[in-house]
Amino acid sequence: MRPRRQAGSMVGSQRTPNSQDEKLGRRHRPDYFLVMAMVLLLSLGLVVIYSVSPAISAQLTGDVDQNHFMYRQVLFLLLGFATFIVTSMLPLQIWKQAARYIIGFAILSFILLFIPALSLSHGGATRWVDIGFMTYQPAEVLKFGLIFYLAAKLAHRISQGKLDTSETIKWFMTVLGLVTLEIVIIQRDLGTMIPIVAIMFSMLYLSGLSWRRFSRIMGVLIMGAILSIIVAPHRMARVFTFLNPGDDLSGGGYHINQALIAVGSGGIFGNGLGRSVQAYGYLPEAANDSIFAIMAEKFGFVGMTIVFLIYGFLMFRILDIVARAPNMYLRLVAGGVLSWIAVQAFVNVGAMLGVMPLTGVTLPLLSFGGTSLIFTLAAMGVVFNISRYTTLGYLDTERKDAREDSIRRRGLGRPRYSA
Amino acid sequence: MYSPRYNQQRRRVDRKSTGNTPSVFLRLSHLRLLIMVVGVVLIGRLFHLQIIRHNHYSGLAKAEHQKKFTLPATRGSLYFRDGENAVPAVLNDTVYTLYVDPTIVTDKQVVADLITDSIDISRPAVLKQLNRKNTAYAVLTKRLTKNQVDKLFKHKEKLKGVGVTPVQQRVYPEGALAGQILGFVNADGVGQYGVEGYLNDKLSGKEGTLEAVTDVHGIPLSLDDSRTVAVQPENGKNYILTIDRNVQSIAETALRRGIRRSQATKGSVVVLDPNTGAIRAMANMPTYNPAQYHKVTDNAYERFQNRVVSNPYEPGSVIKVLTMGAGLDTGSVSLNSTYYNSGSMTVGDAEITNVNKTVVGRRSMTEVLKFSLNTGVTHILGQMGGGSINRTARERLHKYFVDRYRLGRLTGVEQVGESAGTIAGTNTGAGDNIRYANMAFGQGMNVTMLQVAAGFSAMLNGGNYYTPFLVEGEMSDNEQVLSKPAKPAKKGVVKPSTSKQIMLMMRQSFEETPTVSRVVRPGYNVAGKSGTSETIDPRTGKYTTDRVIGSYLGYGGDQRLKYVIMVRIDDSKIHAFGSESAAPIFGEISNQLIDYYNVKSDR
Repeated sequence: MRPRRQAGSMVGSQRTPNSQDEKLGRRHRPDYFLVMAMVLLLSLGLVVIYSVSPAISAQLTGDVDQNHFMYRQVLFLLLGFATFIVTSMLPLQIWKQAARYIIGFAILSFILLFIPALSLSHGGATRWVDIGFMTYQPAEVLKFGLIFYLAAKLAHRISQGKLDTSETIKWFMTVLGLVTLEIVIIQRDLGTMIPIVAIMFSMLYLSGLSWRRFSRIMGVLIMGAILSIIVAPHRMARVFTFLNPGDDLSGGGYHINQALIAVGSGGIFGNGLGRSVQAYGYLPEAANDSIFAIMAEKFGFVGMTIVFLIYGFLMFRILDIVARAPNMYLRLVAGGVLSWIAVQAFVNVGAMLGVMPLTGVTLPLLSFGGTSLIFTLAAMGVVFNISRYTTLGYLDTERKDAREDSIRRRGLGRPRYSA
Repeated sequence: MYSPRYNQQRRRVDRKSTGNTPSVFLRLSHLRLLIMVVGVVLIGRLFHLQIIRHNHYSGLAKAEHQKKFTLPATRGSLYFRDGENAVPAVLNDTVYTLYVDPTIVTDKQVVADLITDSIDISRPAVLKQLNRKNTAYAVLTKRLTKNQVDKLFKHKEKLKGVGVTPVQQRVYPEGALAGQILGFVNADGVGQYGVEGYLNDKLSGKEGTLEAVTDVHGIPLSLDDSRTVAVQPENGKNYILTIDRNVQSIAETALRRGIRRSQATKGSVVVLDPNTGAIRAMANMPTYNPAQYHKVTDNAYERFQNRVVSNPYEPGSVIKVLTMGAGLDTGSVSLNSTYYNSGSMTVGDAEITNVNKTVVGRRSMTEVLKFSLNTGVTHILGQMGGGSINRTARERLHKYFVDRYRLGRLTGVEQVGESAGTIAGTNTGAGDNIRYANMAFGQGMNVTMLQVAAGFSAMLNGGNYYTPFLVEGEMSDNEQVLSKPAKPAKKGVVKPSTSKQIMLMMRQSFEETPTVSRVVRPGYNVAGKSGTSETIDPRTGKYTTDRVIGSYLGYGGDQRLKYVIMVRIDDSKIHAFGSESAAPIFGEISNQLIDYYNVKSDR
């Protein structure tokens, strides 16, 4: 265990913005249940990718190769786990400094996208930077950095008592505007924008901004979203496709209809692991964006309900860490990661079930790898690290005070969670 | 260490910083509630899709995944005889159509190089197809052999977008031999004309079907057997024909030569085994090569017809031998009968005359055949009526022609487009005495060569009518013949003594006519009768001497009858009579068949 300051000595230093980091509670056993849920989902994803590998490789290369996606997924998983271990070990305070470098790197990457030799387009959007031995999405880097930056800034303003001011709003709108400029206007990639907006707004919401100001920003956001859809004909088309998926079965509605066929034909118990037919070229992106539909075809309603429960468990586990975070900064970090995973999962699953338009968002932890997997695991590593410093009860509530003594007596060595 | 003071401190900080904003934990519970609500909505939707709408989507999936394939049946082969052995006449072969998908090919020059290196096709032609737009299937060349394809695809990796489609094709090891008899198989795999057309159903077999779950490109997947339904194809049957390739070849060669010699437009020949009805050779000229049936452009319909069975005509004087047979068999005349030939005879309001005006006076029955006397056979008809041509005479001749020799009746030979011809009934208006007098020398009736040859065989072989046939039997895949024994369709056509007498008469008259008999090798039991018929000019509707059909009907053998040959030559420009145009062809075939069938000389 690394040295910590005595709790009592924190009182004097609370005015300095960064002091909260150092005032972490006693380090205790991290939340292994979180890791369990995560590993469960990753393994499930690996098994599904392995099982659709022959189908997809047959479509892509003409040869049936059981390991086509397998080796790459295992490589990404190893890289992801390594990243997870590193981020879960790194001292939590370094992220505050690191945030600016991460964002700087993301901005640099966005510039690289303008160099045709280094950029990679897929499905109409230029989202990937190709640096020879690997490709990555700058947006993933940005998401990761943005969480720490927003958390630090919001926590700082809270500690200064300046959170609920128009200054905060201006700053927030400036950040949102810049991100929108890059992702929506320059990259023309509204799909990627959705999780970023969700992260930003849920962090802002969690920070405790007054309803008045928050709802005002929400209003601006909704107006902006509607406007961005109306001005781009392809987005309008997508919305119409979503509203009437049966209208254009071979064109815009093809993907969603094939997803619905995959899900619907799964039935109660599914067709079985190796028996997905939709993976044989019918449903696009079977291992990536559409993996949920393929799983639904294989595992059926019962299997998918279990998958939902694992996801729910993971989310509530993070939510608990958010609630028990030792300080506002780390709470916002964990909250940002939670909204990242939750929104991507909901947007992806929603699209596959036909209740949301298709946006090209991957299903976290289950979809075939790439940078998305590595950055998700990096973020999970940070959350895992935060879980080492959670406090016993909910921070700040009156409820907690009433139970304080009895909780305290039950030992300090491990975290406790209320149901 | 956990300190309550820390919490109090934090609480103070929170209060200070957030002022009167709502509790963070209220907001956290909002978030929790939101996650739960979205989760429940999604599970509800999942329930709706997977359980309530399951049948709907299963149906869609099945409609999309399940595809029906046809498993082609192999078409049966045809065999000729080669003496006692079977030799293939029509076999199947897989050839390949080479195509490119111009949308996939990247390096056109490399692909063009590789293709022109191993296949005989011009480079500009390849590049023209490679540069086509808006197509994923551009045919480069057809009918490539397996070897050519193997050679080309040695460089498979460089030929992305180039492919071959296997095509079943009929091959003819004997070339154009008996092409008209065989018929052909069209581009849709359907047999046309000849045996291919007649036995199409049995030759083509039964297609199988495969219903299977496929990938998006229609390639069947092996993942689910319960959804795979396969009905195996039933291959077509193989048949051995009665056609002997040697006899057929002899007959075709002789016919071709004869047509050239007579400067004729058309000609036909049929060789029968008079003891079984087996057709050993059958040919028409002009003919075609079934392997290149698609190249036949001029008068294709006529060329594809087997005129021996499909084109009834007035055979003329060759029929006299059949009338003679009837006369002898009914006892109306005998070998020694004579009649007085005045050169003409009046039947009703018509006068029957002879071509040969010089032979008058009392003449024997043999001389009736020898000089082809129309008045002679009219006399026989009269004798059949007890002295005059009447209803009894008509009925007797009709009985012999139609019921016994089976003229004017379908033989049921295994060929497409057989025609029955017409023989007037005895009670019809047309079937009057004049008509029957004409019929006695082969006019006023339409019959096919095959009918005449078969009836003639029955008259000569002791009186057994054998239905002429082309298909000897079915053949197993290992060329085992499942032969069917020949059975007379009708016994007692004539008395055996009639056969002997008519043969004697024919031989005598034949040998006494050196202009004809010189064409055959002397010293053998070989004889025949010529016929010449005028045709009806299609423009005037009247008989014309411009277009004459010469016929010859003959036999050969020793103690045992070996063959019956009938020849027909149409529209000869230099020969007016069948004895000039058709007889030499008979001679040429007969002389070779004497050797082929080891016919013994009776000298």
